[in-house]
Amino acid sequence: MEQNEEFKIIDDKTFKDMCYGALNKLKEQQSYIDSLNVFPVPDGDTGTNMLLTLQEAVENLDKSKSKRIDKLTQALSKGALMGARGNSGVILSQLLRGLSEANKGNQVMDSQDIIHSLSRASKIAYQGVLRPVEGTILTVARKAAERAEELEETKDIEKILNEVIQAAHTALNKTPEQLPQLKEAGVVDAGGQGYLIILKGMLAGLTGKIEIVEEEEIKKTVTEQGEAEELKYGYCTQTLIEVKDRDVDINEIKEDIEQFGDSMMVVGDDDIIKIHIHTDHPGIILEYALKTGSLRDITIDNMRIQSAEMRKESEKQQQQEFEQIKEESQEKIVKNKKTTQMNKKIGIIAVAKGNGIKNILLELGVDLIIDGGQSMNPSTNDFVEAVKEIKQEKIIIFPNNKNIISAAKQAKSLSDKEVSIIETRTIPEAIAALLIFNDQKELDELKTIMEKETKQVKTIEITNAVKDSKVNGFKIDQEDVIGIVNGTIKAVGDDELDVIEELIDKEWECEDLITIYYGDGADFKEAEKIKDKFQEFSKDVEIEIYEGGQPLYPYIISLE
Amino acid sequence: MVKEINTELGKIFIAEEVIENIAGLSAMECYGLVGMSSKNMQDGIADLLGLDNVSKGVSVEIEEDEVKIFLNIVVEYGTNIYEVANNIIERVKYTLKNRVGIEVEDIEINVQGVRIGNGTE
Repeated sequence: MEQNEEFKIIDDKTFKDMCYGALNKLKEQQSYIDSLNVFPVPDGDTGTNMLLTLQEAVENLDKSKSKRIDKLTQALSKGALMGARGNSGVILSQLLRGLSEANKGNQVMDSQDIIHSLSRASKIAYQGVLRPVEGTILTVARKAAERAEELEETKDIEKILNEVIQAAHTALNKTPEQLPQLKEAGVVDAGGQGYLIILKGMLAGLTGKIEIVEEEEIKKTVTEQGEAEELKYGYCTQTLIEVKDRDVDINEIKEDIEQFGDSMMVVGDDDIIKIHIHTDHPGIILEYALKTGSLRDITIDNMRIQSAEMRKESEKQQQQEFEQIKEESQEKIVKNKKTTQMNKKIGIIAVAKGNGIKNILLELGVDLIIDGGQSMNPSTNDFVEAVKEIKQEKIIIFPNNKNIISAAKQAKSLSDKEVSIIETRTIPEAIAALLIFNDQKELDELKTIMEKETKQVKTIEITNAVKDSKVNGFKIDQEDVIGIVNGTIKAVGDDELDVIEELIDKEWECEDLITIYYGDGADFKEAEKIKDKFQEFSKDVEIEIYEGGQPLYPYIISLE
Repeated sequence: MVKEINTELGKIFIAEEVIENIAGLSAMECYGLVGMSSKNMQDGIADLLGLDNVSKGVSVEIEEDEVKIFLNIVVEYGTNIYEVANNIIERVKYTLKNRVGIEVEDIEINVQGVRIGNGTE
């Protein structure tokens, strides 16, 4: 057949196609590879790292004008070297270096060169590490190379690649047997999977069977869905308002314009407010906005003539913009207006997220709050600034998260003031400590009694898993509800109430005060149900419910 | 010096050498690192050391609460040295934090040599 003829030799064009094929395939599977990571190690984003590395490699390949394979593979390898990201990226760059070395002096590539390339890639990759661990990308590369070496007689490159891919696949499926961590999590090695995908992509590029079909199909259904949605309001209207009068209440604006449309978003601070709404009367909205201040960046789109896809895209973009403004308008530092006027000897700084919780802390006498918490750690500099900001010379800091303690400590060493850090890991610990605060005591003495007090509190945090994993013998799927007691995962389930019930069962120790702080993703009614659950356990226990407004954790519960 | 960790039930002391060993071992898991070079700079020669001496090439400084680590390494020719060093820093930090509970303040990497692999058959 004519086609078979083609696959005996790889020329510059075919080689480039193979690389594009690999890049395409990897892009498609990137998040899948990421999801295979079992260890939350720094190199946790294997898929992303490999993709970024290969991307830079292919970009460099594109720059090369040469028609010779040796020059092209060299360009690819050099790009990978420069663009290597993470452990898996460095390994990939070495594999590609092997490819380049094997093709020195080659004008084109034949079946022998392919076999040589694969085995050279594996050898070079093994060289780069002191103690090669089996069950990783290295094993997969080696098995692929070994299979290739057996095929010396074969001239058809497509057949070789097919065989090699099969061998790589088998090797990949065996990685859980070689690495216990993989077995526990029930996955195959992420790097190995990446290599297999690259090989498959190369084969697809070689035969011209780049599977774009799938992608198109997916897109189609999305469009259909988009069109099926009925549009209630015709015009997407947005504007920025430069506020004249600083006392503008965002909630009031929300209430006033709500009646004119849907998909409303209003965010901002004292200086600038952004409004987005879908309405049939853009004029009314703009007139209204004019009352608040001067307008800029006005856009009005007729959504009925926008294609469904474009609409989706622009909505997504807007969403991001709003998130950003929201983030920025969350003030980094909140000062306590009441306590600044009092003549206190000791200043208190706390880290917190969520308006409800911040207010409670301010009520309890915290002088300054730094915005932050889980996954939003304030920097050392934020602490240094905060310490400077406070007029007192003696200062207590509540980090309220174990990842923030070290930044607070660093700030302590950088400051001339007398700073004492109470190593609180949760908000309830800080609240317990604040209740016994006494301005007349010495810092050292306060630290001792406060730390003792924090030990009396048990904190339950309810949150959702961001990815599949296995911890403490729990198998956790993405989106599962996780119950954390004093920083350790103690229960996992689908339903918040069930998880909380399980935790009460396990952790109940004659508590007499329970406080529930509900945050994003929960409301007062739901919190009442939890209260009932506790009441079932004990009739005497006193239970309080507060709106915490904290993100990520629908509930924070303290038991004392 | 030893690293002191206070817990509810008492104190834990971790010897410098333990930290050195763990830092050395976790660094060796990193791709691109092919050897540790002797920490004694006067030797001058970046001698390749085997597994039997994992803490060679690693030194630890403990001052009060702060732990600093110095690694003298040999990398494989053809790897992105910057990225390899970065990977090592992250890996060592992660391992010490999660396996030992030590927060490392600072990790310094000295690339003392580059090895040209003998992969030629």
